[in-house]
Amino acid sequence: MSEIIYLTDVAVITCIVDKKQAEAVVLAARDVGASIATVHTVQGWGIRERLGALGVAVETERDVIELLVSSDQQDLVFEAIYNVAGLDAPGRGFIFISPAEKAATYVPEAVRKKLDVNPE
Amino acid sequence: MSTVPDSVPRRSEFPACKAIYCILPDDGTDKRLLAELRKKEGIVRAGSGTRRGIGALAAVKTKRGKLPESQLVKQLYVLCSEDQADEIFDFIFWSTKVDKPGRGLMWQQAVTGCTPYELPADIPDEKAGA
Repeated sequence: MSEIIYLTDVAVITCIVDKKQAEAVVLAARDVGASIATVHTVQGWGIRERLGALGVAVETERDVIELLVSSDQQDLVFEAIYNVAGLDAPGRGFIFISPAEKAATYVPEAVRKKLDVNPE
Repeated sequence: MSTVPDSVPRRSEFPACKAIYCILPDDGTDKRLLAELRKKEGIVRAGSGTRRGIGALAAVKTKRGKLPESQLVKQLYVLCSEDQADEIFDFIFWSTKVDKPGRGLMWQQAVTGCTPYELPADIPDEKAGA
């Protein structure tokens, strides 16, 4: 029976930005080596409500991007998406990074051969 | 001095646990897995949601500077005790065939505290395929 190849030193970068900015963020992350991203849209309020013309709180939509990257890459990806999303301006969004203990996915044959794990 | 009444449980009473996340293709694997986790491992702190998945290295043709078309994927989350985590991780790995191309990926993260959860006993389960 083949064995599981655990990937360690992995980090999850979560980025919450204005809707429609997801593509730019993922492109910027890809350009510096990130290869896996998921995006979902959330609707709701932040810590401070935005009032519309009638004084009614306006629900806003944000894109939440999750990127799984190696720990080595995390600073590079962080800086790239921080710049492209313009997170130095107030109200644009934010990023947080959390460590993952291990990950697993398809590992190409060439890499398995190199590691001498589960060669076909 | 704490302003919280004594009847309210303290955060320290809730043990650390592990969260396992899994990105799966939208082919019903998530529902099947949730049912198996409950039946075989007794896991009820789990669920799945819909995401747009972008495999930025996917072997598809795109215009220069553009991303491949995103795919509808399911993101599954499972909370389990620290003791169970490795077993559950391996169970999900083999059950979803994550080691095959295009089957997604999974990862595990530490959670510093989580509340227990039980399903209400007086509500019947939905029928298979519902």
